[in-house]
Amino acid sequence: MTFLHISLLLGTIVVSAPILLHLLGRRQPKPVLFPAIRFVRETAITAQRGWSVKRWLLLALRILMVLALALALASPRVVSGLFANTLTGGVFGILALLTAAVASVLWGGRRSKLAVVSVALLALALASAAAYFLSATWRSQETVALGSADGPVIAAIIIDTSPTMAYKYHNVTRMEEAKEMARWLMDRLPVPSQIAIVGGDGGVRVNQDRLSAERQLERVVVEGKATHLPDRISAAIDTLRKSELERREIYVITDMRENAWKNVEGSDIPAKLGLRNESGEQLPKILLQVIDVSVPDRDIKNWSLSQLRLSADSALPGGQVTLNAEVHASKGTGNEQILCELAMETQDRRLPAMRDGKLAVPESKLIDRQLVQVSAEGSAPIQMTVKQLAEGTNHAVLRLSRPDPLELDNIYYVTIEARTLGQTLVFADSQRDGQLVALMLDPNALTAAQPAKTEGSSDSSANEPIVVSQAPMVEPISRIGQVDLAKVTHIVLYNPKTLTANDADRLLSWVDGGGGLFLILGPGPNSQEEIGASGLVNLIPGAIKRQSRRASDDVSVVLSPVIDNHPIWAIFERPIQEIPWVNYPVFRHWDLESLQAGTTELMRFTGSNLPAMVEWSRGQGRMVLMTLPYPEPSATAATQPWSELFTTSADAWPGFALFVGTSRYLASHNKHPFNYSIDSAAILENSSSQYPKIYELFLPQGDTVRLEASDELVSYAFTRQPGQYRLKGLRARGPVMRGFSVNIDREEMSLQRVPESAMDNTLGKSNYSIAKDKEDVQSSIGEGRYGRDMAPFLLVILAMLFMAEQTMSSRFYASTKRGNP
Amino acid sequence: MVAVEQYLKPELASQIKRLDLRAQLVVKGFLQGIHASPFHGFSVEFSEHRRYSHGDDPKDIDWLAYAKTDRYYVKKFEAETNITGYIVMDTSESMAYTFRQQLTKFDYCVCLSAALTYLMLMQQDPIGLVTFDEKIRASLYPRSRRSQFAAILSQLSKLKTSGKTHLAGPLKQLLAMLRHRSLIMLMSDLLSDVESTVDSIRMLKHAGHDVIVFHVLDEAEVTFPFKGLVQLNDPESGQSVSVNADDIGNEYRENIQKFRDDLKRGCSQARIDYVPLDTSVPYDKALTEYLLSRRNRF
Repeated sequence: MTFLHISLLLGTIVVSAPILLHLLGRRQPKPVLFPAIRFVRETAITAQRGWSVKRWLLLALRILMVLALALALASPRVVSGLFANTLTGGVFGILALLTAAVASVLWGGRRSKLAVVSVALLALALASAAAYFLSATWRSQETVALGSADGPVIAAIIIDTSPTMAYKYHNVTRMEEAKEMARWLMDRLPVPSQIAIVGGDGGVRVNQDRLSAERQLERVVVEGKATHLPDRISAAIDTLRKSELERREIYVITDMRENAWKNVEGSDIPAKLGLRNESGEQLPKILLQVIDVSVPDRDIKNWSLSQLRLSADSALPGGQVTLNAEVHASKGTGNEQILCELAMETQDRRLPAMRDGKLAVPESKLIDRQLVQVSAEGSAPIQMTVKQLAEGTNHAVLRLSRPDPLELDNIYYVTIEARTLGQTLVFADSQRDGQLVALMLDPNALTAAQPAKTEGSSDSSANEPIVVSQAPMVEPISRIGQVDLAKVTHIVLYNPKTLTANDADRLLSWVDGGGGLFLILGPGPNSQEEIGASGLVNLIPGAIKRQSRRASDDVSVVLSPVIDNHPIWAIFERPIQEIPWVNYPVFRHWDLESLQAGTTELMRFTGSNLPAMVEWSRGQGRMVLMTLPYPEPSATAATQPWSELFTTSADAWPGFALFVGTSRYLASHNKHPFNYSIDSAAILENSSSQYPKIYELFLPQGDTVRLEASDELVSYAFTRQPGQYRLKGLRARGPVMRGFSVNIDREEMSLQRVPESAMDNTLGKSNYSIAKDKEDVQSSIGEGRYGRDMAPFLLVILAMLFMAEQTMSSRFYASTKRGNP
Repeated sequence: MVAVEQYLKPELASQIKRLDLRAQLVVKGFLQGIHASPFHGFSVEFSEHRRYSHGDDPKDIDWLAYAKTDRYYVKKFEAETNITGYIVMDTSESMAYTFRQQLTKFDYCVCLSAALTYLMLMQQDPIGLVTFDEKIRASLYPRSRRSQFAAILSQLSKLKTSGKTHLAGPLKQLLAMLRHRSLIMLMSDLLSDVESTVDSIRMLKHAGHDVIVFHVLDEAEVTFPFKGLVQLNDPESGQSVSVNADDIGNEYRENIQKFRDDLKRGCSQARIDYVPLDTSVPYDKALTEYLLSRRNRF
């Protein structure tokens, strides 16, 4: 127990006053003659005994009154955690006193000894309980030094920078509220105090003056990732422990969301806050105050966009990408229609740029919108498509048009790169077939080796025809081992008869590195056993069981798309289901069964429902397998065609489009994505032949950073803020704009409140207190800094003692007694 | 009476000075107002006629009056005293007690005695005086002369209270002294054991004497008016006890009432007149009420 005004404890000396008065000023009985004494004597003996007990009890009450008053004036304090102990002890003490009084009255009232002894024993038991609880309070704090009331403080103000702190309530974000609270706290710290503002980076840097702390506070902003507050508290404790100042205080200003307090198992905070270390050495006390700036659960009304799923991060110029997401509504919302808008930035060679200290970005154009009906605690899917992608980096923003308190989760930044195909390599056993494939990919493939399109083409409009950068190369399958695959972005392995295991491994490692392999099975292998015996089996995500054959007049089996949305289908102007696959019967195909996990079926054969086209990812690359040949191999084209998908007529467009679409899809695949989560390291390929080496990176908040490419890569790891990160470099022909998007992981923005039990586990139940407003904080600071004031409790005891004293001294009831005859 | 002045306050003494006058007033007022003596004796002297009513003894019918008036009249006679009265007065220390410092129990008894003496002498009954504490201290032989009144008053004024109350001994002594059937008027606070007291009084009754017990207590002994812490001292035994008067008041009052009730019960069983008195009740009023009630009984 500690005392705010310990000198006033001297007041307890006044206890001697009632004792002296009792002993010295004892009232002598007035002598009177009374002959009828024999009728008094019997009554008087018992009454005199009771009166004597009352007299001593009265003395005890008066002593206790003086003690309680002196203690109350000295403002005794205990820490909140032990307040319950003290209170319980006090209540037991009062009950013990009352029971003792009852026992004495019973004794004086000539009641049975059993009753008197029972009540006396009860009083003794209550007194023992009171002594136990009060001594526990005393023992646990006997060594705590709180320091002087006005002495300097070392305080760490930890501000939760989780994205949910951007929630606006009464037009003020939680972060603004937190900063206001931090300033208010700083105002209340004694002038020579040292203050550390712990914000986004989690570093605890102690400022010696208020001004520096203010500056540090100004720099704290809402981050894109949930703060891990236990780590920050732990670090703050470590720092504060090193301080020479006696009074150490940690304030955590948070909106109490679960994410900020997660991974709390095995928290070392309770041990660190302990008053003694493992070797029993005494440690100074640290006040830990959690300040809740959260929005009441009943007032939370929020709509949010879920994690966005892009069909691809990159596409060919003019291509399209599909965006899938859900709109979620929180508990307090009603049944509302929410408008989702997708806006895409136009391309401007002059932007981004810093103008008047602000970041200027190209204008955005609304390209798609969707209205969805969402009910409270429900969700509704949305799907949008970005079409006619202009070559280069395309930045888009998907947002909910309805304003709500937490804007951060209404918006999703998207970056899609549309770029020309890289080098395509066709491996085919038959020279003729290889050339045909090359010809299909690039009609000019056989005329001359086309020079690659330059970067200058990036300003071409979206309506320009699709272009292929380099003519495909054709090589026999036997040369897989000799060809340099490093510069190839896309390989078509057409109708391989067999494949060595080494060649298969080489291709696989190339895929792992980010390549796109299109494997077309045809009449090359004679049987499934032959496939199984060759290296081909390593490239197939399942088991080839047999070859299905049908008569040439059996038109029952056709291709059938399995999924509705896929970037490959972007080549069709109409939805994939509307393509007349029924007109193109399939007579033969390999039966692919037992598909490996992670394999996606794109097309099936009707009837057997076996896959006709499957896709799977491997490393950073992708592979697509067709179980029937396209184009038709020259060997079987005339005699036993596998399907009618390939004919020289223009009617056979679906097969052609499917083949070309797949090739472009694989060719446009990028090793590195363009859409990242907060704190992920963003990496962009940066071929020195195509891109500049040095870039200026425009961060979403308007700062710029110089970036230099190394190893044909540009990387940036400090993606702290959500938004679009724009790179601007210079080549001889003009500026090169690139970029990527960073979004907040939707899980980080959960508005789920942290349960109290989790807080208790993390911080230790009696180690901290939670305050909800300034008044709470003030009293809580007082309690924490000086302990909880026991004076009111003592005053209540004083009042009870006073009443007991009045009753005992018969002052209240004297007049009525006099009235008796 | 000079002696009375010595131990009483002047205002009281002035009252006591007129003791004989007041005694006369009480008795005369009684005689004049009621026109009948409460002491209907056997030696008769014609008093008046009254109409015969059902229940009257036919032998009392005055036939002469019947012959004259043709109506039945009963002859009423004033009793002629044929009984010797004794005023037996307790002079123990406790009788000197007074709370209000006005009339002690002893004074009260003196007044009462004077009135009764006067009354007896008015009826030509011999009356004597016996005073006692632990034993009989003084006695005045009963006479019916007028001078007896002065003699008794003189004797009373000389009395001093001392010693303890002890009824058994003195009453035994008294019994031995009595030759004829007498009327014994006992005046005491009776502050001793109830049973022995009642037994002693019964002893007189059994010997054929008529006994009236005037139980005189001080007002304070009945009401216990003390407050707070008091040390009570017994003037007889010298014992003292310190008490909180507020605590024991009710219980004391219950005890004293029980004491009086016990005495009353004991006396009534032996057909003894028990007259509870306290000094707050004017003795003339008390005496009148008693005599009236006694007359109604005869």
